[in-house]
Amino acid sequence: MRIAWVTPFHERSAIAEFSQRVTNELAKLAEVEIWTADDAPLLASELEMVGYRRGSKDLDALRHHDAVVYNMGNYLGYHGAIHGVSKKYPGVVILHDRALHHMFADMWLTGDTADPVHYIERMGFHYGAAGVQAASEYLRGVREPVWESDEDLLRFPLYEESIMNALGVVTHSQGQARQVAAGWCGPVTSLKLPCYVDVLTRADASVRPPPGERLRLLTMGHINPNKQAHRVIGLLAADPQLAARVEYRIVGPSGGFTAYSDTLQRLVAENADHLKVEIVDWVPDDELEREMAWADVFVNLRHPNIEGGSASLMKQLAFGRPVLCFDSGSFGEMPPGVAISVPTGDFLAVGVALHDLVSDASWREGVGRKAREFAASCSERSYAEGVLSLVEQARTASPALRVLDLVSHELGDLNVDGRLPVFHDIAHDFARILDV
Amino acid sequence: MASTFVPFVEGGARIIVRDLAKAIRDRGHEVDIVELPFVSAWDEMLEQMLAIRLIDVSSSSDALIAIRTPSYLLRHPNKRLWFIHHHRGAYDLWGTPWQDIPETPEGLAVRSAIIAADNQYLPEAQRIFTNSQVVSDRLRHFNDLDSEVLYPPLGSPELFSRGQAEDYLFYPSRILGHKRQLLVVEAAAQLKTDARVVIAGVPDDPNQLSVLEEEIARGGLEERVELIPRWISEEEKAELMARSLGVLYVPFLEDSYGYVTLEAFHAHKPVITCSNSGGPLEIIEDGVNGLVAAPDPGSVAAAMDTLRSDPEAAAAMGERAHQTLQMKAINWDHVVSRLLG
Amino acid sequence: MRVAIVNNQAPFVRGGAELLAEWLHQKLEEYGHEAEIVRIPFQWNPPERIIDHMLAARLVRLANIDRVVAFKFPAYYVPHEDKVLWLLHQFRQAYDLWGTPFQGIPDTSAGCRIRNAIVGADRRHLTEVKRIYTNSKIVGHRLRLYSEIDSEPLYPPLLDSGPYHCEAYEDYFFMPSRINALKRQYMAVEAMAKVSGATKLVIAGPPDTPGDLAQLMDVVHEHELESRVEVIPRWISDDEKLRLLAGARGVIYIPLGEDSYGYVTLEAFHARKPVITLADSDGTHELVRDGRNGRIAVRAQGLADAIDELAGDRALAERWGQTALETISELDISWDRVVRCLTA
Repeated sequence: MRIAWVTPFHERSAIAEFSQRVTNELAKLAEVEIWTADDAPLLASELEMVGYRRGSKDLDALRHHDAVVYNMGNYLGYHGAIHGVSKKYPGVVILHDRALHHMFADMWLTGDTADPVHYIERMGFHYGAAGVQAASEYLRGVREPVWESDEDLLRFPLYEESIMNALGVVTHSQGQARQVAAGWCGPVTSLKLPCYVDVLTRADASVRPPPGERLRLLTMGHINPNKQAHRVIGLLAADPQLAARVEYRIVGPSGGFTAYSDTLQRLVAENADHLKVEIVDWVPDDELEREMAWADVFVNLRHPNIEGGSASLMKQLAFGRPVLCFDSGSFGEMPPGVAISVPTGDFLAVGVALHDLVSDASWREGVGRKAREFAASCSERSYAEGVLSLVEQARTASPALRVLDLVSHELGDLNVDGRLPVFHDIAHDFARILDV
Repeated sequence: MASTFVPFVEGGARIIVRDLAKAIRDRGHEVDIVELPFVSAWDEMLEQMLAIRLIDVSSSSDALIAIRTPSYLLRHPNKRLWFIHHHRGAYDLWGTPWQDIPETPEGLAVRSAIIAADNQYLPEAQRIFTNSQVVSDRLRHFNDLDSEVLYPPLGSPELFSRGQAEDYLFYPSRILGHKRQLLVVEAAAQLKTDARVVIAGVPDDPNQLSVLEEEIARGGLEERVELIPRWISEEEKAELMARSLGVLYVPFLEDSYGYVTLEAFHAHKPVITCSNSGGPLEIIEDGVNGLVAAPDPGSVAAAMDTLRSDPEAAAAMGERAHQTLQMKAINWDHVVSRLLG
Repeated sequence: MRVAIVNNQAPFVRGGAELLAEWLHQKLEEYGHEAEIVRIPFQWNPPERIIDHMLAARLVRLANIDRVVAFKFPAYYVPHEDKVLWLLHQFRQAYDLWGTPFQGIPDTSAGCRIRNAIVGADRRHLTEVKRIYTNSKIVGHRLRLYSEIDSEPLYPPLLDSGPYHCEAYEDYFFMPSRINALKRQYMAVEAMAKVSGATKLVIAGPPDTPGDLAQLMDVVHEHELESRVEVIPRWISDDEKLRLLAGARGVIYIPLGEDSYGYVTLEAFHARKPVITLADSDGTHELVRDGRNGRIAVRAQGLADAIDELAGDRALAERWGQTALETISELDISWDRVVRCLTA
């Protein structure tokens, strides 16, 4: 099978790294060609690479492939071009994020082709009157942007826009797969994000400092309110007994959330005499891995969980330390015992779990071992196999999906109102002969 | 009446449609023909099938007779099918070089939908007729459906009449590989009597024509084999047939007996066919109204020699050939009364 | 080139459009092209079926065709990159007949949705054809008015105008047409009652229903015109028609509100006969020029006056008849032009 893998491939894109790893494995099972619109510096690959520009007629070469796979994420710079191509050359879409709202908002509201009316129309198309209201209120300046509110992002994710004429969808959590399948009728699957082999190797080789008197807690990544670091500090401040036995480091940039960052700094300063908490800004990868090697427990609470799968979670699991998390999204989909997951939003339970973690070393080690095992099982190879299987399902479904798209398109061009009976009649006839 | 057609392609179904329409009108009914353009490309199949389901011809007629697939998809409370053949690429030609649907996941899905549509919608008909036992057998085997064989008569049988037999066997047919004119030429090289062969037809496959010409030259058969590689009029054909000893019709595995066989029977001529010719074997019985040879040059030559060396026997077979038409009810009275009954 | 002539099909109906398709087929082949007539069934009852057939047309696939020439809604939705319209009809029920007793589609919300679909679909798809010709200016005006699309008139010629000839301008007027209320033969009869001279009227054509004929004969009897009005209530053969035309003083053709000039008018002109028509016959005015090749009478009395005018002046009839013939070439109503335009 000949597969065109359309992806960002720029050095600085996490999805580029993902694509590099997965296509290396996929190329052992099929013929894979990487298509990217990014400029240098690109990652290296031994596979054929095709550079494209949106709208160029070279894109027609995509038709020579048996399947096209599109990697969709929430950043316009990398994914706008990909989305454009996917509309014209239907294929399988991998949703790397739960919400693509920011990307579409950038696409429709900024730059030369800005078209606010289109934004409102699309929000209405996918979410009805509520969507129209959210979009128009923002544009009138009486409401905050949807993409700055996690609650809004859960209500108006806009991933639907990216899969409208897809032939298959890959998600990274079962919850998202169910959500997609509830509103889209082609093949959908959820795959576990891979934990890269070299990450496992480095994690295994990392030097763990000898245990100290305090349990070392680490929260890492982009530091914003969603990660709940402020609630953890508050929890510790209210529980001196616990606070005396833990050391908490918060490592990562907080770009775009300076107010929050200031709040955190203030909290830490206010509690400096009875809490051992340190905030560290962005650090390069090798230093981050040293921080991870240092940690005894990863505190990875996200609320609300607006992610699809989590690459950072995989990395944490690779280090063989317990991850303390809420049970929503992909965090709630791990096998039992692989992580310590408490009911979403329940900080009392977080406190209880921390107490247990502090007192029971053998339990900690047991969970850490299971975490590492699980990470090892989420290989690039198994991901590649999963994608291939979905691609085959998508190919089987494609004649049906294409004719449904064609007929819908024609009915749209004929200005036919959705309430007329022709839709029902067609569905009835097709249901008798199509397997969709 | 409903059927499908490809613009500028004159296939057998279009002839049946016109002949049937005339036969029905001649018997006092009103006929209009719904002939829908159709492309048989596998990747345009589904939307065209839907188009036919959307079309409504039910309120203006008392009965609908659907002929070429998939015109049977038309809705009508009183639908009869005179089913000529399936979309064969999905059925008996699947797994052969004539499979016209790729064996990819996409192709398999479309094939599956074609078969599902046949299974779902063929049974909507009040009655299903076919044009040959071969096609009826396929309907039973692939779609579990019963059907009645209704042999298509000639449109203008009066053109073909008895004539005084001369010394040649006549093979009129489009020049194509599977019509096997080459087999007849090779047989001509093995004739023991002075029988000759006249082959006439449009060379649909120019390569095949070259092959025939080369074989004739190679075997020095210019005196034995007369090749007329062009369209001949019905009158020319009838004339050549009337003066022949007998007619050859030796295609490879055809669905139906072919108009040539019928024309020969109307002209009181025996027909030489082959054991793997398919459809013709439904009405040609070895030694009775024709001869069934094995598909090799020697056997075909022997059959031709048989007719040449015993013209009385040949004539007797020719009479029985003509009677076969009556016995198998290959006439429009029968066809129309069954279709509209 | 290989041309598909695409028309609707209402089973068992064979009207002007079907004839035109057959004539165009014949002419295209005479001019060296290859043509096939493609008929796509159309059913508009119940109105929801209209949508089904619009979509069906969009899903038709045509192989081996270089150019599509399409006549009517919804057959003209058939997809093809090289499509030219010779527009005989949009779906009038959605346009000029909407809001009249003839609108056909109910005023319900479903009906309005159907109408909106037709209007929207025409605007969308008719702009994608290469060129639009219409068979009359009226159809072209409607296209501009309702769909804001331009077109050019392309007048349908007779299949074979050769046999049409003039022998004399005798003392009768000829009125060939199906006999029904819209063709208004009764008005011509009433006019004959007011005509001063001894001129006669010959009406020929099959009545749509026995009632139509009965009503007409009632008018004849009412005015005691049995000796002046001859009614031939059947199809007349081509020979009969040619003969009756050849000797007539003029032709009367007064249908109510027709889209196009009608073959009757064109036949009359080929036979060098002036045509008397009415102001509300509409389409006939594209050929008939008042006072030059015929009369556009305003009311029933005007009809009688026009008959008198020509009945009393044979030379006038001859002059107008000559102009009538010239009108045909002035408007270039010819197969040369038709084939050239449709295959350009």
